[in-house]
Amino acid sequence: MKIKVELFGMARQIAHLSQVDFEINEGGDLRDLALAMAQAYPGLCGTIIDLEGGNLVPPYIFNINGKYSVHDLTTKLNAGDSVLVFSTMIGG
Amino acid sequence: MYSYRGKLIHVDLSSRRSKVEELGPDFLKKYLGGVGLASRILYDGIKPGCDPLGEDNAIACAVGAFTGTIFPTGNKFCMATKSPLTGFLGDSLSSSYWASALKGAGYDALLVTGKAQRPTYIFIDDGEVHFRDASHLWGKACFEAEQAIREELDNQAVRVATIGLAGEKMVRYACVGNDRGRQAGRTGQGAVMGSKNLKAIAVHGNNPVNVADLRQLSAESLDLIKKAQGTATEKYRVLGTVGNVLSLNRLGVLPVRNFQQSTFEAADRVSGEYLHKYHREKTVACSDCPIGCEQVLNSREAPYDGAVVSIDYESLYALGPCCGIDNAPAIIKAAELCDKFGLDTMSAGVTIAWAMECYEKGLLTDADTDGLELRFGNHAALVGIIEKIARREGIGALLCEGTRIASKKLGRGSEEFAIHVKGLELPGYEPRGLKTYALGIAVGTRGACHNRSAAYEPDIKGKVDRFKAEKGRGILAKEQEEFATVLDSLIICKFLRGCFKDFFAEAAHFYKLATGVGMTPQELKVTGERIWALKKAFNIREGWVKEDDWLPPRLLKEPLADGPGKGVVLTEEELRMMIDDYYRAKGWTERGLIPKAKLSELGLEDIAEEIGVG
Repeated sequence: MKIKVELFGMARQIAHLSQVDFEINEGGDLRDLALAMAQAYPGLCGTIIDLEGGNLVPPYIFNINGKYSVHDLTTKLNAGDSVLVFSTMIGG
Repeated sequence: MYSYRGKLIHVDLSSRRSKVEELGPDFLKKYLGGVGLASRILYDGIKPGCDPLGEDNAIACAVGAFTGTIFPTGNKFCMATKSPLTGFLGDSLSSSYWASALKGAGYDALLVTGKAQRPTYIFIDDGEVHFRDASHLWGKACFEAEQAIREELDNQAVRVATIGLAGEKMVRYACVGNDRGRQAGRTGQGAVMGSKNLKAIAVHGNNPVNVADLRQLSAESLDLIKKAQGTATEKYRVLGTVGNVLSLNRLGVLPVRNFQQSTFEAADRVSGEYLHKYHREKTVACSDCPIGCEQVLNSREAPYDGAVVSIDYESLYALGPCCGIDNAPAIIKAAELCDKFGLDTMSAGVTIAWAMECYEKGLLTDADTDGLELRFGNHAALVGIIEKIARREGIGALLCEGTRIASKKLGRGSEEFAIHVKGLELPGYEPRGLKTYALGIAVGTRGACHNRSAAYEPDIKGKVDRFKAEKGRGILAKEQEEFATVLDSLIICKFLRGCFKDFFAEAAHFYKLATGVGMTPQELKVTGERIWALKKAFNIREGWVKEDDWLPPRLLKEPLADGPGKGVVLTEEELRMMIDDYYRAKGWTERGLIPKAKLSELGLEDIAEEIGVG
């Protein structure tokens, strides 16, 4: 199934793109997506994606469809979902 | 006690005299420094009910335990006063070499009282106070006055906190500038200085700060500096805080056109990425900061070419999307003008946005605006109106009051969309899409402030359903405001918060390394609660009532118009429920007053007698 990933902040700077589509298996979850992202954009590893921990590097976080930020990487995705990757460090 | 000086300098402008007061170790440990120390000194230093712009108001400045040490980001000071914008406690922080200079001069704090007969500036030189004529500086821009004073004193090491024209004219949201681009920005400290004929406070001092364990503090501070240059802050180093524009826009919490929308169709043209690509001049850091989040931008395009200024997210939101402006050079020019005249960019932007809505609704006409077509998106009008505000000329005479007073004066329903809490205009986050944050700013002691209560953190981090109002948010708001209070009192920059695993334990440890005074993590937490209670007590003494803890009508009557939260509402019932939950979490009464027993438990026995209930 197709999942759209939207990148913000340093994730965007490192990958040099604002959004990209990934194909993951039906019933796949955020962990599958993180691995797909790491394979496609190795530059994200270490700064945005923590491969050993199988999660995003804090303060980066996933958010599904712009609504809810998600910590649990076993969260299932649905075809057509947009997954945001952004830093939760805000304020200015 | 190491690190502190143990001294407060009183400076009275009326009598042109000064005196030194000793500050004991127990007192310093109890209030830490920064916001805590300045708030306590102000509480003791003014009479309740005084006119914020009258002679009886005072200005309390305080630095922190880490100021002047190797600990990173500790070179900040708090400037507290009774705010002319809110009528309550106004506590404003600035990163600055001014802070380390004051400590170098021998003081942890300064209390300015009275009123000078003519324009004056204070010069504190290695412990000695001088009163100097400022007539020739009156009317000068903030950074021009800074440099003029350094040249006049023939010492480039002198640090100067100064007001611009807006402070002299007592614009209610005039700020205090220093280090050419840093400001004690919010709640109108500049207006209070102007009311006292006080153009500037110059300080010079080179006495080193002695810490308890220099070797260990140095080693552990260097580790912290390395962390501060890591992933948690990289976005700020590269893009600055404006790097948040696109993510907040995507989440539907970027306030647009005076909070009528929460997504901006032109966000790409005012984003951190866009500014970095087309307008970045250089990146700079505040005094003693290893992060370096400040992005200095150059307008580079006619008719605004030549404008150079650092812009953070809040300034950009207020002068940009909140006014419907997508012209980056105009936003840069507007921010530069605000810095020049000494205006809080946030209150200025939100007040102009209110005026733009008034104009579009026909409540203000060309006759009121001196011909300025004050529509959303009109960048020429934005740039043109700022000097009028600073000079209190034409429409500026209304807008210089801020949205609360201006909307009361104009009336005709304009209060419904005056976006303030307790008179302080809102920061750049949409409360209807961040319900914990909505509570946090509603109950804030200085009004709508994201810095005094970062209650958006549970919302943004997904710890709660950000669109839902429910019980349990009270304790979250309490924790966030008390955490912020400790940061603001120690003082530690909030952008360092992501570098601690166990903040209270690590901060208490660093405090001991600097001061030699032991503090448990729990003691530090309670200190945050104590200082917040002190600030609330200040407001209660000034007449605060429960109804002051509230949000603007628009946010409680209109659903979100767009974005992922389209249709979401925040009802009065929901807000009331969350506020009641918050009062319970704080151990306060149903009316939001503080029981005597609670104040005594926090070590505020004297205040318990004055404003405590029960």
